[in-house]
Amino acid sequence: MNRLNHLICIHSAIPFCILLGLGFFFIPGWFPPISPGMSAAETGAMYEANRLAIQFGMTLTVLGSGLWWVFSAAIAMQMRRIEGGDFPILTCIQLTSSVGNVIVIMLAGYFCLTAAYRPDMPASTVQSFTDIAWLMNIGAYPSTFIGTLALGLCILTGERGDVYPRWLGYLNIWYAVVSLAGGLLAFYHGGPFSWNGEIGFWLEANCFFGWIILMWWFSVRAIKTWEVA
Amino acid sequence: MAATVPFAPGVEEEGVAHRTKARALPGEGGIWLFIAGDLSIFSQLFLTYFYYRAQQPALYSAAQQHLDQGLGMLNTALMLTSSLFVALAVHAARRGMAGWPSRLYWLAALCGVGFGVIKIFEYGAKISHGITLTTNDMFMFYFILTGTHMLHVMMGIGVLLFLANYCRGTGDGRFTPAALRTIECGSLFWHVVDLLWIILFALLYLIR
Repeated sequence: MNRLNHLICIHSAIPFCILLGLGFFFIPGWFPPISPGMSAAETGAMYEANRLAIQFGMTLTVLGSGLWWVFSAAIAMQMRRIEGGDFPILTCIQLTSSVGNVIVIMLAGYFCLTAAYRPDMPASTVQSFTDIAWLMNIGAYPSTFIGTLALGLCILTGERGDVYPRWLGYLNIWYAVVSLAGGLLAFYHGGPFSWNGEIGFWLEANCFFGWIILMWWFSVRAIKTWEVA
Repeated sequence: MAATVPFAPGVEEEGVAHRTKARALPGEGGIWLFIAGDLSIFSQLFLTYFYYRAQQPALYSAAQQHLDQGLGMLNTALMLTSSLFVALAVHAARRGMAGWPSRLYWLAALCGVGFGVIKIFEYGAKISHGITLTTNDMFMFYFILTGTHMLHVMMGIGVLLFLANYCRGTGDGRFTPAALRTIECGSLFWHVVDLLWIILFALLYLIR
């Protein structure tokens, strides 16, 4: 086991957050988040004014999305330690569900890249692509729900209790349930449960990035105290 | 020794000082973090509700007239009864009353199912009147808050059935401290489900 490789992988959480934060939110000017209540004409005008920034930001988003695989693989190796045995099913579930997160973030980037690609695209089409991107990226709950549930159960029921603290298992199950609010985005064009609302965006985004920081911190600790040489 | 530790037969060998320290809180630390997290999410939902309600109180009051207080009251009674069964089950498990914890968890789960059935009728009545989660802001909160709670009820019924099965195993009704902790963790979750319903019932059905 090469400890350094595992540390490099878990640290990919940092460039991931930077690329996603800058790429999807700050560079296109989408922070605070754009309103789902914008008309097609307003959406078209927004792309007209920020085309290059949106294209550049989305390129960073697409690039950063792949780092989620690396980060998740490093967590999966710790889950493998916890779960033990020949058939670590929860580890498999977490690892495969991470693919879902990558695809959602990557496709959200590509949809916005497409919307910004041709200046003569009708505004309603630009709006549709933007809607898909935001509904996918902010409401990415199916893979988050399954992945964090598997991780939480693994920590609580696994063979080893010294890799992650037990409370982190409960926290993962809690976050799994919280992530389900992403399913409400599609019903509202404003208010607390829409993609720029108090619950739909702010709560979910804080939980998402908070979860990354916690998992990063405790995984680094677990890798550093790994007894295998 | 047993006489001084009437509620914790599983740990009576460990000495009183240690027992009081270890059993100051039921369950384990992690479940309390989970509960605190859950309550903070619901607090955030409640605050959001109050904030939006303050913008257009007339609309909310008018919409709240459509909520069925009778069914809400019935559900409150079911929730409180199930919580009582759960509390009795924990008591029976601590006392080592063989067979009783499992039976009481079954009864509690049955109340939970009853709660769900009533909720289905309540939702059905709303939907048949054309009232859904996009009708207006009040019904958005109504469906999402009660729906989130219903999700907890379903998870809770799963936990209660697990506990009913879990408690069946011991022949003499005695549980190890670790098994008691598991029983307490699951039971605590159900009490939270109950607590949240009481708040929701007051918030949505009673405060008009």
